[in-house]
Amino acid sequence: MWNKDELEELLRRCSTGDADAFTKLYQLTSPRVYGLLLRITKDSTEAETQLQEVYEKIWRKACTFNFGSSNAAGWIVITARNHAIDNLRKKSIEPQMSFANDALLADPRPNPESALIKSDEASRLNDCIEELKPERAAAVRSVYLDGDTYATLARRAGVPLNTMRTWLRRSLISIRMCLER
Amino acid sequence: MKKVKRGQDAKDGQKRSLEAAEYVLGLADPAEDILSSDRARTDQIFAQEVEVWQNHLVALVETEIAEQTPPPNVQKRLSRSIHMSRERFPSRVRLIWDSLTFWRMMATSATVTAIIAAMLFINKPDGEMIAASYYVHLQGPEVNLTFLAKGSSGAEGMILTSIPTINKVADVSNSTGVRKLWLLPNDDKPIELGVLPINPKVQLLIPYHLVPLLKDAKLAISAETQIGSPKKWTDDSFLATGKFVSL
Repeated sequence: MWNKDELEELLRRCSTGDADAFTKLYQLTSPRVYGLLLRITKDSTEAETQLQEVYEKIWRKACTFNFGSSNAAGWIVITARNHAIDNLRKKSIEPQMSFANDALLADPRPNPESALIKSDEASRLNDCIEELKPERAAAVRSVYLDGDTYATLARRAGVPLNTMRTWLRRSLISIRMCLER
Repeated sequence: MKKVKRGQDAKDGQKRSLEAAEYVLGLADPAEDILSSDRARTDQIFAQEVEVWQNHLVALVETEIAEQTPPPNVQKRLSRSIHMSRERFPSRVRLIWDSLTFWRMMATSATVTAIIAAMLFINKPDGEMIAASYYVHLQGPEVNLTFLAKGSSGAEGMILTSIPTINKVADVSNSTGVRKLWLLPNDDKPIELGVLPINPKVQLLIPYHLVPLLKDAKLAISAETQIGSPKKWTDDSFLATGKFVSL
């Protein structure tokens, strides 16, 4: 698990042009970010290119991070995820469903180690997702982890776009209510 | 009655949460995305909801995405790229660029320039209305803003422009909810001028048919609550008011 205070301190140093801090930040966070990019792009070459672009962006934009009130880990993850999703949508193609190198891809299921260190928040979120019907839980996970859109999910499930939109919106509201309980 | 209000609050809360979720998860269409992005900057409650959904996303990524060691050449390429960017943009320059003092000095210079420019333009009439200029300062517990209203030959009214002053607009953006600007004509009901954008430089149009009212009018800023603008206006309806002063 990432130490959010350490990441914030490293980001702060990056914002002043400290290349050593950037190297450390990269070493700490890139394996997870690369895993996320592999998951979204489903292409190791593309993920590698995007990894470099994401960290160049992090280097350039570190000074725009809201120090003291935002979550540094969240900022890095969101930066990477948005970058990958934007690229995916620019290309307007469905990600390849057969992978060139399956060994490189992240296992979508929680592994035993991660299950042990799972944070309370993730654990509660997972429990709430599990309360949904299986196909809707799968759709929610695809949205979170693969960056799928309503349209992609509707096509895959063979249902009209508005039906998928309604399902997912209800699912998201259910998750929010479940987390408040 | 209270039950109805609680029900409405819950509905609003769900709607807000859904909008935040769609924004964070990239489900919103481009137009909605821009609106949500703007809302996240101006509406603290919405911004908190965005943070909640972001935290969920990070938690899920941290536990469900397995770490993968990136190829070593990525770090090498990054180091070269960072090194080049540092040469182009040395850290001392970068530090100055990122410093608050630098931007405060820039903001002060901009204020002085704006006032001098306003004074210079007074004596260049393109017709009575175009030539007229007003200055108004809004001061209240949460607000401290200065505006300049000036006619423009190309526009369909007077342009109301905020004069950049240090942290003044930020004071407004730190508050919760949408802010609106109002024209308070002498002895008449308030006229809405529009939502106050949270930008360093705010520009709004005062249509020419309202310009004659400015002479004895006030400018006011209100908090737009979730239920809309207050129906009955009192002095307490506004966060701040200021009288138009002819330049």
